[in-house]
Amino acid sequence: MRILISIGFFTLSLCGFAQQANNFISLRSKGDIPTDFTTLSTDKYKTDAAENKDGDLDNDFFLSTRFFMDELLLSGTVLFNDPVTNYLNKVAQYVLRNEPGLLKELRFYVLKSNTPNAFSTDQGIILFTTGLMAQLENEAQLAYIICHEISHYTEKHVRNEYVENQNIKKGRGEYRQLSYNERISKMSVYSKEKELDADQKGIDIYLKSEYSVEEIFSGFEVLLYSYLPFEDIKFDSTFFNTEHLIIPGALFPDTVNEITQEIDYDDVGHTHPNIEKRIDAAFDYLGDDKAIGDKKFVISEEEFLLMRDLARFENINIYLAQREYGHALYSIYLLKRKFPNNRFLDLAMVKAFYGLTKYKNNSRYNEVTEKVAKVEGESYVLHCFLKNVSREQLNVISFRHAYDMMNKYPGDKIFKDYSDDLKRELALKSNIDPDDFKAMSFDSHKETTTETIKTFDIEDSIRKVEASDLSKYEKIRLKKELKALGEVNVISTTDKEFYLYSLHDIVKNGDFIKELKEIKKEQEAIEEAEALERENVKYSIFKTSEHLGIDKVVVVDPLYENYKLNENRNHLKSEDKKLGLTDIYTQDYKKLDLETDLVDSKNLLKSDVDEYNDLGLLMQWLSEIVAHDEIDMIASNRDQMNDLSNKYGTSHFLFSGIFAYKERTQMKNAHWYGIMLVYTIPLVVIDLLIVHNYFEIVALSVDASTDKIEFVQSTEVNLKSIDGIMKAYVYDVLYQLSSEPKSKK
Amino acid sequence: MKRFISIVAAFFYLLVGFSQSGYLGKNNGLDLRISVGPSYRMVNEIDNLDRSVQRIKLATTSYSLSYTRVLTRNFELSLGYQFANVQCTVEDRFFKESVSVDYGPSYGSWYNSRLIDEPRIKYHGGVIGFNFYRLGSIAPIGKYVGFSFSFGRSVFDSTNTIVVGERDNNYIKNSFFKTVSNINSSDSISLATTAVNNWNLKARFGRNYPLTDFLILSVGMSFPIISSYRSGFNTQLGFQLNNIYKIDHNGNWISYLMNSVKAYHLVTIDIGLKFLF
Repeated sequence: MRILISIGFFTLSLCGFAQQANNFISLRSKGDIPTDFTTLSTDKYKTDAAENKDGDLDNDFFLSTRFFMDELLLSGTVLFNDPVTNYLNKVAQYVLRNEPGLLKELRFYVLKSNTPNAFSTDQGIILFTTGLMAQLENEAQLAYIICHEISHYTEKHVRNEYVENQNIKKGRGEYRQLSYNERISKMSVYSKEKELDADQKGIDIYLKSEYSVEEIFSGFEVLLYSYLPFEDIKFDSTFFNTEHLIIPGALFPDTVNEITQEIDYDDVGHTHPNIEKRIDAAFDYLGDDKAIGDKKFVISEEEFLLMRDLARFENINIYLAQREYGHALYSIYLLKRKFPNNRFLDLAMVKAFYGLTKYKNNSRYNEVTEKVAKVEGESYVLHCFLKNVSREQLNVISFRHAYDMMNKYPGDKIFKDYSDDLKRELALKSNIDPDDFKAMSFDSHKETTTETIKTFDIEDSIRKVEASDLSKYEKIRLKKELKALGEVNVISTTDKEFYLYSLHDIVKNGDFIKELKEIKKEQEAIEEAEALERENVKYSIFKTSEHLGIDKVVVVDPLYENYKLNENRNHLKSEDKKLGLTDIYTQDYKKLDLETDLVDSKNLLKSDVDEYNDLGLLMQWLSEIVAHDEIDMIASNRDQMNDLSNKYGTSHFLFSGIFAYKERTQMKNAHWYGIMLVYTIPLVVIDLLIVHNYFEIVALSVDASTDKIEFVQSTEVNLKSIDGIMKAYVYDVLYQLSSEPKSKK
Repeated sequence: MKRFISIVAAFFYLLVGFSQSGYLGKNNGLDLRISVGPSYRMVNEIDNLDRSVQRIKLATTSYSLSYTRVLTRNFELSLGYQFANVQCTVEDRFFKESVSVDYGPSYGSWYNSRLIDEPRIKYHGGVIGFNFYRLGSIAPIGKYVGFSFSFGRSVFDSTNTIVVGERDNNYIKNSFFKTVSNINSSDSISLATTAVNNWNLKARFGRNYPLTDFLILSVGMSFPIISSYRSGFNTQLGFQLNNIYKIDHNGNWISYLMNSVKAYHLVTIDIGLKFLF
């Protein structure tokens, strides 16, 4: 009976895992927000600096580390209580099962990032990236990296490195006699030394577990090739083919770029020693010690695999947001082998092709494709295909996929959005004349062509040309063409035109061609109307600002950055003023007809996990929109943003920041003239000594329903950023977003 | 008339049609301003003990109350009323000839007599000005430069008389700020009604600080570019004071008055409090 129950639970958990992967949208933090996220950086700094008894550590250390770390923690990209972090914590708890005191001091989180990395801080925060989690082969490898990072904490490497770097920079102690360049290289040497130390101390912790020692070395190899995709599998040139879309294999290269990374790569300038040195050092350190463990998994293999898949899924989201569409497609290809009918992967593929098409059509394709010479391994084939695909081909491939997916998920609006927009691209920017589309499949076309060539008698045709009344020149030309027809492989030349046959079913069954022409016609009419409107604009010397007519806006984490005269960030003032700035944004302005809601990284309560997740999504969305710049396109997380718009009751999101700084007037010619006049020297001196206060207010409002930047303002102000002044500028921004002032209604 | 109506309509349109965010949505303001001009002159008065007092005057003050309106993002217009209770302070001076019958009864020759109780003048005027907010400032907050056109009329305070006479050379009190001496002989002259009309074009710059959501502190400076002072056919352009040591009733009473008024239209430091609504 007990066995049956266990099997039942196991089956249920597997179903649950499968469900998680199938319904995947994005990794989100859950539960209560840890205090690492809810405590103000200033409080952390003051507490830690006050408790510091280490004479070598100055306040700058606490200032810079607390504020830097919090910036990362509050970016919304750090995960907690999600399946990946939970699994990470389980392994860490197992590794430290005999050291509860140390375990209590440490907090493990996962950072959404494609860069394979892990790091620890002196505060006991240890972060693993999704990029690293996606690369791991087993739990033991993860356990060893956890041990390595724990060692950084226990050995106080962050503190030691800071003190050592200060000594090196200031030329204190043994570094007094060294040149600047020698000091720089010492920094790198010291960094490598502490990495080897962490490796050894990590082994000490690791050996107390049941994990296999072999996995320490396999883990190093994982790190060696972590710059490659999580698997290196030959790309199948038929992967993009569908029932109606046949991409000729000839468009994919036969060869790949070899993987060049060697185990003993040159590590000069690296913070870590090369893998060979690390393996050798670990091997020497282990000596004849026989480890007790031989396991690759202690917690759960299934959970590890799920965690890894989720990390890989999340990395696709990151690739799409970072516009690395080629990497996204290769990851999709790899994951589709395991999840052939996964909605997330289907949607991600549509998004990736959509992104590529948009950039291709806007002549910015190089921004989103890799330099193929630098791509190593099997993914080279895919990157090479993407690099060489023509605008016409890409438009059709993208539309075909979006169209098919729209039919596969009929009630899913997001697929329809992409399909509709790609249809517009096809009509307006693909360079394809709609009449050129064929109502015949590519296979049928090839068969017909082959048959025609077979039955076509070239010699007979040449004879007919010679016997004709054509001019000498025309005869020569026609004969040349006929001879060439006999020599060239006609199939390979028509291969490139596969795209004209790829929509044959759509062309055949509906008014598709008519629809494309209609779209083009409508667009031309719109452009004409706009041109006319531009001509009729009356300019006034009284330049007025336009109201966007928004009723409600969500203010997203307004920034305040304060810089001193020496250009160093004033951390304490920045945080203090930022807290005040949020009040300014949410103040009820009597004359303003605009409702504001705030998503703020500071002042988070432990129950505000949704707000924290929203913040991460909004920041990712913004960076993607800004990167797209003038390309009018659907953002990769439009589906999630739609949910967010519904939640807040508005699709308008305002991102803003105030950057305050001080400057002295630079010496100019006028000052020299002033000095020459002698009597004006005091004025010159005063002008040069006065410290001028400036601040720059930047505001950017984005409409989530269109993914368009609807309002941008950047104003440099030669004033001190006192609250009253900032209020005026914040009001001015809100005023321009609003419908109209209440008094004018 | 049509032209006048169109100008008024256009002006009204400007006021209403191009309103901007202002300060927290408030585009209108009531600005109470004190203009303080530096001075280094002696005021001649008679104290309660009938002694001649010469008191140093280090500043001239005038007042204005204006309505201001933010027209565009960086542009503010103001319409106001100016007032100054002007104390004539144009140096020490004496009479060399008898007073003309045109301006009052003849008192004989006071060649060595000096003015020992100077009259006061009332100045009433209007001012139209605009400020252009610069270096990123949004009207009506921050740094501005601007121009103002003021016009007004100055008249002797009718209750005042001018007293001429001789002071005792033995001072009762003599300091940098105040000199007190007995009056050996004196006579008073009732001042005739006369007026000076003037207009000034001034440049100004300054800075506005928000104190609360509806109060702004304004600190600035203004200086004249062109000024005109006119009384009948006598017109003086410019803003330089002429030192008048000799006054006779045949002509330079008007100059005396003009120059006293001019002192209030020189470089001034303006401190104002603006109520926004």
